Amino acid sequence: MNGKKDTRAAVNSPECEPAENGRSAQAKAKTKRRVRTALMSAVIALSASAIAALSVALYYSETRNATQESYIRSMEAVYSRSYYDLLDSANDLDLRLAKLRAASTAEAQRDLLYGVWQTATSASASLAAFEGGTEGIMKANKFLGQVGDYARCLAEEMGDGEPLTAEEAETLGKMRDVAAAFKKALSDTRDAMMSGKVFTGENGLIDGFASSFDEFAEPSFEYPQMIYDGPFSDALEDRDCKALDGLDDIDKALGAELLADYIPEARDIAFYDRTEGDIVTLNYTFAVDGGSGFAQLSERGGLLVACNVDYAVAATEVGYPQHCAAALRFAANAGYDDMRVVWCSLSQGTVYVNLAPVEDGVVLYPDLVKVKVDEKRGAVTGLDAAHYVFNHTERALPAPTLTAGEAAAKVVLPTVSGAELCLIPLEETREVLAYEFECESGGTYYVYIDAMTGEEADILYVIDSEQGRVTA
Amino acid sequence: MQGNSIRRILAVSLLAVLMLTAVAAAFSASPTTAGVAEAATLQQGSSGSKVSEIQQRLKNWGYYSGSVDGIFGSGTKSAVVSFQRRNGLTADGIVGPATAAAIGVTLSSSSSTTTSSSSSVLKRGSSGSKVSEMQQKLKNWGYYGGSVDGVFGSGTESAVTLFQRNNGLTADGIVGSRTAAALGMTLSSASSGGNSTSSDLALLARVVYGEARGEPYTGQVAVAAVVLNRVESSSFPNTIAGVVYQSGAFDCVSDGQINLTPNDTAYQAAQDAMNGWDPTCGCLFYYNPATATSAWMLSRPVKLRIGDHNFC
Repeated sequence: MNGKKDTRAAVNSPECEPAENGRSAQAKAKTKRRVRTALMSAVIALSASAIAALSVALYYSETRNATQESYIRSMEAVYSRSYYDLLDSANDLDLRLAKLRAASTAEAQRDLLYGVWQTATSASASLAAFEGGTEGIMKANKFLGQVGDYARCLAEEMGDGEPLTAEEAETLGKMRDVAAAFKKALSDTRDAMMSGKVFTGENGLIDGFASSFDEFAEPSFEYPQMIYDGPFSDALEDRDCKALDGLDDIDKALGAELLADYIPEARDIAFYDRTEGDIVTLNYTFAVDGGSGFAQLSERGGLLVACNVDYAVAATEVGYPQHCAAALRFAANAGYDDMRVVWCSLSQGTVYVNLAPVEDGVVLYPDLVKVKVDEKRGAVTGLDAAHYVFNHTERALPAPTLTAGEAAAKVVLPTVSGAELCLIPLEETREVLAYEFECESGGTYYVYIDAMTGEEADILYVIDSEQGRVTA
Repeated sequence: MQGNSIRRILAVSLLAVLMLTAVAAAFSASPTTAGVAEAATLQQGSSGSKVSEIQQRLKNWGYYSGSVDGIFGSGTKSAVVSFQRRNGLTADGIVGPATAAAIGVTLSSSSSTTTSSSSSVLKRGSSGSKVSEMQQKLKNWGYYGGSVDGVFGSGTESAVTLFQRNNGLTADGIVGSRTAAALGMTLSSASSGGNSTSSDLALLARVVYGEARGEPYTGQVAVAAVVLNRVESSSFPNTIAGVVYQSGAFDCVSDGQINLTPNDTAYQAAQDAMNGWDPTCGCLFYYNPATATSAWMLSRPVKLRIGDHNFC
């Protein structure tokens, strides 16, 4: 018992301090170890998490990079293919135009001309894969469009067996010089590709491709004036407005007065601005009950060229209204009288009514006036008379050399209407007097027989589509 | 052992043949099913967008007062019966081809693949449901005073001639495609292959929506017109898709907004432009002067300003 008491005394006594310090140090060391272990564990856990997160990020990054690279390679392939196709077409075009110089018979020339059309069309499609917003590219594309279009028109006109005239051959010769410049424009890119450069990526060839055609913006070669019977003819640029010939200019105030006459329900007519397009127009805004409108009057003569009325509130349907009658009334009020309905088509809640003037029993299709009528409301919502303004003029129409019966005998499909004498526009630049026949054979056709030559001038087929009932 | 293997192979082969036969039978049966579905009429129990369309029309005309929910219930049936009675049709509450035509809807959604079956022109001596439909329309508008009997006689011919004369059509008493269009009816659904033009319209509407959805309506038509002017210009590709997807031509292609679904206004604007409306009178470019940076573009004379766009 005493021994135990002594021991306790010894512990509490100053003599026992070293031992006590030793235990304390041990405890501290233990705590430190624990803290260190915890820290280490935390560090290892964090490191492991970081490694895991990094691995995941790396994986996704790699996947993303791989996808991105795959897209870039695909784009590179698209550009390269378009370029090589373009180069082939440019070479073929140059070659065919060169051969035309040597061809003397109509047959050989026609084959080559169709070849020129085909290669120019292919070249244009390939060129479209590259940026098109520069003047050089646009003019290069214009060359391809015109040379192909011109060649096709010439080839089609060679049906009579007559070879090219000297003038036509000269124009084609000049176009060959342009074709040579076109080929040359592609050579820098070809050289760069040969030295290993690619289209995509930093300093890729795509950046400088458009500038290869800068020479087309300010050419050193002679570009001939291209006037011919085709849709890309220069004759269609800066077109004359035949309906406005001899008419006086109007001012803003007179325009507003005329508009009030044309559209009696128009209120708050205000001048908006002037457009210097193919037809110079004075533009006005106006209000109608339940909506607003925008109208364009020709500055010369004050004809209603186009208008649109936007009704804010939809009307309730009141039954199928007489859209054609509404269109005729509106057009007559705007100065387009003696019109006949030549087509009606319903699409997206709007009935499009096409009107054409009739002179001496001939329907003048080139002078179309189109009127929009809201299907439910039955009110006119727009008019477009641009065709009329461009084309309407006093015409000296020849008397047909074919009778209606003779023309009918040339139609192979069963006709469901009598012959209607009409003037039809062809290739935007020509007008042909023709007999029109409506035919049915697994579909509706309009067949036009040239009233002077008896040839099939045009065939239209009626298509029901989302755009309504249209012809093509 | 060998005999067992042969039997096993034979059994497996037989099973495979049976399965293939079943699959082939299933495939060969499917067109028949589709054909039945397409030819079906609409009646009580039917549902879908065609039912909604019919309900909406009947509601607009005061025959139906229920909700336009696309479900052909008893209320819809009563409305159809009323409509049929008032329009000289068999009042059975079933929307077959004749009733559908009178209401102005087509039952088949695959009109582009159907072929002509009905008469393609109506004239004296014609008869049938199309004649009835036409007589009813002429009667509603006061041109025809006779009975809706489906027979094209002299009275009907006079009415057609009068209608043609009043509506600026060739007054020959024969209902061809133009007179039919003016009457708001089609004589046949023969045409096919028009989907290419529809896709053009959809693409153009996407461009309008992606480029100009906040612009005034005329500005939206103008944007669509610029696309079409480019198609007609020798300086640009010759198709709508070619022009739209020409590299760098339209911002909505670069930023992906062309893939947004266009609204009705964008479709209407695209439709107007395709029908010839062009407020720009031939412009090939437009830009927003607040954001445009191209010196060449900015140097071009501005022909028209609409909303945020300058057209040149």
